[in-house]
Order: sequence, then C-alpha cells, then structure tokens
Amino acid sequence: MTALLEIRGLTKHFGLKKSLFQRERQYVHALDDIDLDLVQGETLSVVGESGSGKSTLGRTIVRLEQPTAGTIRFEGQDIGGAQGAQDRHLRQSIQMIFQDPYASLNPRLSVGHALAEPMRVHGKVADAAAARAAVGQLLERVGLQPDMANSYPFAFSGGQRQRIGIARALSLGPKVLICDEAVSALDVSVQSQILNLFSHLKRELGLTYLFITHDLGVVRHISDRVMVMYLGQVVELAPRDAFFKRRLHPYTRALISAAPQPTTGRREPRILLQGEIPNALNPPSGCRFHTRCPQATAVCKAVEPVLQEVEPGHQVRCHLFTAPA
Amino acid sequence: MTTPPALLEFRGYRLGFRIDGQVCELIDDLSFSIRAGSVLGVVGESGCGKSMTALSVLRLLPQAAAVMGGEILFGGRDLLAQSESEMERIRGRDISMVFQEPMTSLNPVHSVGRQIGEVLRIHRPGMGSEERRAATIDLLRQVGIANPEQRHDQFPHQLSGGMRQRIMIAIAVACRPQLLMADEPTTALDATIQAQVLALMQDIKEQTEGSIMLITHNLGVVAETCDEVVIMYAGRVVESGSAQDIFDRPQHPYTQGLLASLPSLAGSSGDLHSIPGSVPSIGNFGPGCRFAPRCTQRRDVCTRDVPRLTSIGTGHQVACWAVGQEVTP
Repeated sequence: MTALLEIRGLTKHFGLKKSLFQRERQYVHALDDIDLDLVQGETLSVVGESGSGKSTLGRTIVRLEQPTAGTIRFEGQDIGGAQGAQDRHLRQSIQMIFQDPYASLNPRLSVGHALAEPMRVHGKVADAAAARAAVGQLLERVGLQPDMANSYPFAFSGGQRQRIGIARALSLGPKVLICDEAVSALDVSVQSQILNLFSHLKRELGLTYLFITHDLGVVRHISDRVMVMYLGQVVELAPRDAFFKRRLHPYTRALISAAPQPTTGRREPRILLQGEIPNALNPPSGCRFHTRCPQATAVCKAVEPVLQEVEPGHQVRCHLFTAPA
Repeated sequence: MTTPPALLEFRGYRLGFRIDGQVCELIDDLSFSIRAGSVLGVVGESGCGKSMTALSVLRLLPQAAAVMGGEILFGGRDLLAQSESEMERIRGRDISMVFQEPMTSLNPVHSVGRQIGEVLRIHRPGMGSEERRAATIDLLRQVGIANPEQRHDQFPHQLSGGMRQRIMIAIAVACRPQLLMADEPTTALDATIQAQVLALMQDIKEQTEGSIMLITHNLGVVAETCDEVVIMYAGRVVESGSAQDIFDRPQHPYTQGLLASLPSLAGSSGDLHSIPGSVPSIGNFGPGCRFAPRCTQRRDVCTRDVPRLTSIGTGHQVACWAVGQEVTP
C-alpha cells in the first residue's frame, strides 16, 4: 500500500525572541522528528493535549508553517520545493477545516462569494454563471440550500457555518482534508450531524482525513488509525480497535481513563496524572512523559525511548515495551 | 425517608431580554431546587439559558436582561427581593461562582494571593493581614497548588490554565459558601487536567459540606459528578431527575436524542444518531413545546400548547406531551 502523504523526520521549532541577557535563543519544540504515512482513504486521528504539537502538524502539512527540518511528500512529490503549477496543484489537494467556523469566514463576504473565491483564484470556473452553479452544488453537498449563497455568515447557526467551512474546503476538489478540532465548538446535537457529514463525504468523494481532536469518543467513532502526541513527539500509533483495546503507552491509558463517560454504571478506576504538561521550551530529559508517568523508572529519566513497532502496525515510544538489547 | 430541605429553589422564574425595544422571553417558568449537600447538573446546549440561570442567582445579569417574574429562594429568602448591599454580602460568602475562562476572570495586575485574600478582606473584616496571608496559603494548598508560599505572590500569567482554574476555585471557596456554582469549569481544560479539577471539586464539596450547581454541556462530566440533573432546552426545563433517571431511563425525546448523539468510547458503527435542525434562537420560539420543530414524536398538540413539567416517578419530571400528559382535545 503506497502512502498518499509521506512525512519523514518532520520537525518544527519556534524561535522565541532573545532577551537582552540571554546568550542563546530559546526554541519551542512543537514537532520533533515525526514520521507518518497517511494512506489513501483512511481517517487518521491525532490526539493530544494543548502543547502536544497536533495543530502544528496540521498547519505544517497545509504549509501554513515552514518546517524546521524533514520532508512531506504528497503522491511522491516533495511539498517543500513545489513551485508554479505544481504548487497550485498541491494546495488544491490538501485543504484544512478549522475549529471556529465563524472566525474563519469573512463576515463581509456572502457565502456564495466566499465559496466561489478559491475556485476563481485557481481557475476552476470559467464565468460567474459557472461559479454560481458550482456554489449551489457545494451547498447541497454539505446539506444546505443553494439559495443560501446570498446570505452572510452572521445569518447562520454554528453547525451551518461549519458546513460552509467544509463546503469551502471541498470547493477545490481536495484529496486530503485536515480537520483541526472541526467539531469541538459545536453543540452535541449538531456535532453528530457534522460527524455523519464527514463520513458521507469520505464515502462519496474518497477523501482521506487527518482528524485532529481531543475528544476520544469522536476518535473511536471516526478513525481507522489513532496517533497520540505528547510534547511534539508521537508516543503511540495504532489501528483504532487495537488502540482502544491494548492502550499500551501509560499516557494513552491515562487519557482514555480521563474521558468522562455519560453512563452511571460501574467505571474502571481513573488514572489521575500528577502535574501538568511540561513546558515545550525545555522538554524533560529521557522520556518526555517521565515527570507525570505512574510507571516511570530510573531509565526513563536518563534515556529517551524510541518509537518501536511492537505488533504489526502498532508503534509505541516507551521503555516498558522496548526489547532488551 | 425524609428529604432534606432545599438550599436553593427556583419557583416559576421567568427572564427576558430587551431586543430592539421589545422584551423577548428566554427562560420560561423555571422551577427546580438543589438540596443541601448535593451536586446538581444543569445541562443544555448554547443559548438554552443555563448560564443566565446561574447569573440570576447572583443577580449579575447583563444590562439587557429583564426579570419577568418568579422567585429564587435561598435558605427561604427570595434573592430577587434582596437589596444590592445585601447581595454584596451574599456573593462570595454564601454563594460563589467559578467561570469557564480563568484568564479573563482573574485580574492580571494583582498577585493571585491578593485576589484570594480580597474575598477574606471583604467578608472577614476582623482578620489581620498576617492571618489572611496564612489563610490564603492554606487555601492554595487545599486546591492542590505546589509551593503555595511562592505561588501566593505570583501573577495569573505565570500560571498554567489548570492552575488558574484552581485559583478560581480557591477564591470561590475561601469563605466556605453553602452553594458553589460552576459554569463550564473544565471546558477550557485538557482531558487529564479536567479529571484533576473535577476530583478537586468533589474533595472541596466533601470538606465544606456545601452544594454545587454545575453548569455544563458535557454529559460525561454530569454523569460522573452529579447526583441530580436538570436538562434545559431553549429556556425551559424539559426533564429533571436523579442521574440514574436521566442516563438510564431518559424519557424526553430531547434527552434521548442527546444521549444517542454522543459518539461512545465503547465504539459504534455506521451513522450516529442526530437530532435534525438546530436550537431555535431567542425571539423565534413557537407557541407550543420549543423542541417540537426538531422532535420525531411531534403531534398536533405539541406545536399548539406548552407541555407542563409532570412527575413520572420519585423526583423524575418530564415536560412532554408524549410522556405522562393528559392531552386536552
């Protein structure tokens, strides 16, 4: 199986402004050496807390951020060096949907205008009539009425605005959609509508999703594979069912047990982590999770574990699962 | 079995908003109560009036809001009838509140110790400054802040989101209020920090023997922390009961729909259940049941008459024409 998107050694450090008395510039380690293959037609969920680098990963793939090191290949082509027609093709193929649909729509553009603009820029529509027809089709595709094209964003509810955000991402016929907390701001009854829309679009258009979220219920429902990030690193990557059944990494276990369940029955005992996610300016030595890990030993503090495949398709970065050398 | 008396009771409370010179009703005939020592969850989607319900208790409503009737009884006294100076004595001492976004609720130019101490300065005037500092440091320790002596003199920007929320809780419980209200206290926090803060609130409740009113849209949080639950939709209570009633035997089509819409950690396949349409906005409510336009069990009566909250079991009430109501022809 060839990967649609191949990410190798992707690293992104944000340099902080140097203060007068500092000798060296400090860097936020947002992404450190990420390797990831996204296969055509799959939904890969990226889970992690704030500061884990999950949003930076999405933003780097759509080139809203320049990577510090590493490569991203789309259909075998290096995204970094793309120019001209190749560059335009890549930008059409990978689109992003953001958390807050209101903040990502221009309040002074009608919905029809906002949807037609990317198609005009990329020469997808010949004239105004073709643009109108294309906008009408897009709106129907995401469950809105074509005549809503003349309305402005304020006239729509949160769920409808997110549908417009999805329509705009679809307007250029993308192959990969990066969804950054795309359902997190929505009410429960609307969230399930949008999740269903994502599933339908995937089936109809053969889309591939990178789904960034902190909601494990959503992850369980929508994903084929799940990746957990902690302080800029991948700590576990596995097929969905294996991920929820095996939950190898201690951080994964804590995350799953921390998710509140809407049932009154007996629950598994909660693993309450001590402390908070450390500062990404100077990540802890050894395993980055050792400061909060209930199972940390001396080796965790000293030696950084590597991401290892422990079962087919199941990778973990933890000394508990590293075969003795 | 005798039921303990209600600490806080809403009786037929109605609240409207002035929009373009007209008063539009949002909260209609709100009636529910919190028993002393229990945790009550108020659940609803955005715009259902759950935050306004909490602000009504403290009388901190926005300018455009207009109380249209009813009573809010706290220990037998109607809060709506108290003078402003009496409310100032009640706020922070008897009833306090934790808000969603700790950064916007904390003052950036004062140390956190000073902000916690302020509550004590106002409500415990006899306390000397040394004693107050000691009490503040003790509170910081109680809410699980490491190195409380150093943290006392730090400013909000030096703390993480989870720690700021702990400071907010310390401010709220400084005077050991009988009622602590929390409006989406963990929504802005990460999952592992949310679990810590929820555990802390539970601890605090047991230490202070107070009651908690938890306002949230997160049904998981409610199931894990609340004894009793009120489900609101578009300004009305549609169902209320014990956590078991609501999660194991939900009766209102809206409650059932909400629970079925949640993607479960246990796994689900195919399409998720979803409630069609979206929450109506204020000023656009129909004459009958406000959920009727989205309800799959809608009948003629639903769009015509308002269903009353009716008891269908001990403490379990539902407002729905399809459940336990006598339909008048």
